[in-house]
Amino acid sequence: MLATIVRKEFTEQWRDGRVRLAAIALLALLTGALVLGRQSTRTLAAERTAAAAATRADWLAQPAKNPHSAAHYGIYAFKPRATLATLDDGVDPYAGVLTWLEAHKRNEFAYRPAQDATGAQRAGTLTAAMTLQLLVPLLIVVLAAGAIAGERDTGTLRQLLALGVPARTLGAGKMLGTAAALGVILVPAAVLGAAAIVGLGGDAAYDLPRAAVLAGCYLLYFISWLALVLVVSARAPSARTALAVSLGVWMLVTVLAPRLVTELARAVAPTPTASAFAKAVRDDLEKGFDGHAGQAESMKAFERRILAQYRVDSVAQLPVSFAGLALDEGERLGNVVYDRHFARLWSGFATQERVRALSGVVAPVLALRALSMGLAGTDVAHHRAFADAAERYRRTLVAAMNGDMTRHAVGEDFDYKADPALWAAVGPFTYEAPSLGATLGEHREALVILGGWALVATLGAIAAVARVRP
Amino acid sequence: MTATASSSYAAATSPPPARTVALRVLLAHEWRLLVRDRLLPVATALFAVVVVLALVAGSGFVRVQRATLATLRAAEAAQYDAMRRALDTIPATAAPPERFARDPRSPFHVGARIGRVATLDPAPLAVLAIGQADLQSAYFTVTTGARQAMLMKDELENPVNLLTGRLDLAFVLAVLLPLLVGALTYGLLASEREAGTLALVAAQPVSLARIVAAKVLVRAAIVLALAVGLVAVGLVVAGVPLGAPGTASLAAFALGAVVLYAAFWFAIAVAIGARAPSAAAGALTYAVAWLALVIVVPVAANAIAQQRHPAPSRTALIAQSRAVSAAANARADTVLRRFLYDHPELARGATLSSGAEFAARSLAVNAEIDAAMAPPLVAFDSALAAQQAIVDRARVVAPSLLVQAVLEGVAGTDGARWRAFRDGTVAFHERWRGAIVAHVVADRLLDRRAYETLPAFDAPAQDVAATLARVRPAFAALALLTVAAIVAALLSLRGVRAIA
Repeated sequence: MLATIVRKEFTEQWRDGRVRLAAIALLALLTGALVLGRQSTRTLAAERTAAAAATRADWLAQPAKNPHSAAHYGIYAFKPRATLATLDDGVDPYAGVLTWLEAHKRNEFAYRPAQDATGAQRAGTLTAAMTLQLLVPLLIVVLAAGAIAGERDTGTLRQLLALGVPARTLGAGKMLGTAAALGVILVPAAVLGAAAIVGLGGDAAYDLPRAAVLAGCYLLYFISWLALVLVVSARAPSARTALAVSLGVWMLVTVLAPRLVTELARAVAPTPTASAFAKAVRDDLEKGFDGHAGQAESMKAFERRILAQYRVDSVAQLPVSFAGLALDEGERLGNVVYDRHFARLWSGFATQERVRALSGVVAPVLALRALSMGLAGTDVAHHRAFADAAERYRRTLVAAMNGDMTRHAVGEDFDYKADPALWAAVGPFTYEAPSLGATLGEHREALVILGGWALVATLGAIAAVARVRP
Repeated sequence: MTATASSSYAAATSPPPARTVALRVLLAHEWRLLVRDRLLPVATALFAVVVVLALVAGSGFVRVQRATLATLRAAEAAQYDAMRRALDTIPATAAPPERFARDPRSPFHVGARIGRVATLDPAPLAVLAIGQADLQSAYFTVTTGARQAMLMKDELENPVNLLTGRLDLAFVLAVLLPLLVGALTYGLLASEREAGTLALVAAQPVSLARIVAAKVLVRAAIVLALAVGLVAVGLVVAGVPLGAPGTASLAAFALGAVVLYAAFWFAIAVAIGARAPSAAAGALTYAVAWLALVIVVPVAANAIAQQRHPAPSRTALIAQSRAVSAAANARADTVLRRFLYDHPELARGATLSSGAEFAARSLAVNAEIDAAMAPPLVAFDSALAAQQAIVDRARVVAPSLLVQAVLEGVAGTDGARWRAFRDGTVAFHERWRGAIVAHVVADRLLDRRAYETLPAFDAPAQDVAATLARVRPAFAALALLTVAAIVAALLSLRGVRAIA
């Protein structure tokens, strides 16, 4: 019985020329998105690897100079392109790609690729993720809106129930049959997606489990939509109403909700302006905060402390370079301020992301999108992880320069020139992206919400079909 | 829709002159039908709420931007006041400042550390569209430093907010307005056909086009009341200075584009509705048309544009600028000599003091770096222009991009006004450096009189004529597209069959 229903549903769907056309269009878009994604990953990965090598070479090629000059010269950190960004490039076009690591200052990330694109970029990036998040649900609406309401319209629902077909079996058959029709598109899509990320030179042990979980999340998303549309179909008085309601829900949830939630998130945790942020940092550095003294005052106290520690009367009598010590202390004072303000900034962004994920209760696309970007390594958390790693490296590098100055610049301070061997003593910058566990932990709410959606919608579909009346 | 409702056409149209009476009666009849439909209050209320939210978001954005720029300008004024007052406390006999001294008399200190702030105020109609303004900094700090560092400045924002986009009026009107039109219009004829009343309607002595016109006019009145009326009221409430020169005509241009855009979608809805076998099929076709024109074409156009004319690598630019700057620094003496040779009017004294020579060398090196980095930076602008050319061609089949171009153009947030501001800032940067160099090379300290002659940045007002010239092609294309859609709708009405 079930098999017959599934077969009937599947055959009927595929007999519809419009469904075939939609499927072809969808697969064509998906293929285009994957080809472009793969091309970008190749180009960007090569560019950034080359740039990272170039900045390291620049650093090593410095002549003998004062270590503090070297720290001012600094080095650049380039955000690597994640392999799975081929599928979902997430915030990549909108987050800076590089940052300058120099003495005294924690710099922002610069160069958002979207700045080098036209305004049409804001309509969305053509990615596999966009295609799957936006278009597949529409296809599900097309396939499933008439599943039960259509039978009611034509009077065949009464016949089916009169024949003694259990409503549950009917519902299950409709769901599986539509799923099978969808599978004709999604299975090739999955194969295409897998092919797109093979041979890009990523770490397979890192990427494959993520890709698998990513596929699972999309599956949950599609199940949610399919079940939701079946609920509508079972309860709507006619196929026309079922379709209109499903289309309305699709538009509200996938088109309007994300932007509406941006406003909500910004209202809950307003983003500071760049100038307000810079001023807050400057004020704290100059005037101090919460019992921390300002920089000028702190440095005077530091000098007294050092003189007492070494039991000397003036910095000239110190067995170390006071300039080196002072630079190191200045760095330490600055870092406290930067830590405080960046932690605040990031936690504001995290709150905004939480608002987004929780809005997934109403608009499942928001929960899925968080997971999709997270697993692809293109969400805010990954951006932050890289920014923090770059900052840690900056501190290591500057500390090495100041340490060398402290030890070797006695009596010379800023006239001292370090041997170029010092530059190589600081190892190259390496970055380890967050683990799968960390990413799933970051997005646990979204995961629960998406799973909840799939479960509740499926149970809802079963209940709605069980109570179906001709 | 019921048979009794439709049969009232017959009663209404029986006494001649039928035509003039008919339209008014038809309108009243359609209105009664629509009001009874549950969809109307839900769809219009939702749209009205979204319009209000968009007005709130847009004016909030503009308010924050104005406040930020006002703070920056006030801070600059306060700083220069403080420095002028400090000048008065320094006796004329005081020793000249040291090389790095933070001394208000030192042209190098004022030029390289203090500088000026260049600001771009939001245009009067900025409330209409946030556009690219959330990606582009509305101010730059201009010093004698290198140009690239000056321009490497972004506004802070959670990148997911940038990715998702804000709920501004441009989005509501370009993306959501067609959905409201569709919700009100999708069953226009097909529902009568399904109910069997279309044959009755067609049998009346009123042309089908006239009946459709009545149906569309009632719906258009509702849509325009929200999309134009409510928006216009919103602009006034948001405090847009419509009395400012040119602002009213720009606003009229924007709202005119919205009217055309709504007409385009009504025409599409009628064209689809006339041929659709059922209301459901009509709704689906309309949704697919919306998806294709509003989402797929812009997204694909952008993808193709980026693929065909990718911007040069910003990451490679870093290595390049480091190489250029290393070379300029290594040749600093030559660079300075040539600089002075090129500017004989500047070099007054035979020899410079060591402080002045250090400053002059540093300024000359920065000028050299800027000159060397100008061509690679131009490559970014040409790539963007080539991309824009592709997107402009795609706009012919993407009316949402056209209406967005008009709205963002009028709002001054389409990127073009910002690029003009950036270029103005670059020109001002040259002027600023020129003024500082003149003092440094003449080995002259700044006094009160010199402070008055230091160049200041004039925040540019929106150029109304240039804006109109920029949005006119998009407006014209939108008008053409709308006319084409209306013709298509009329043609498809001619072949309407009353019975499914």
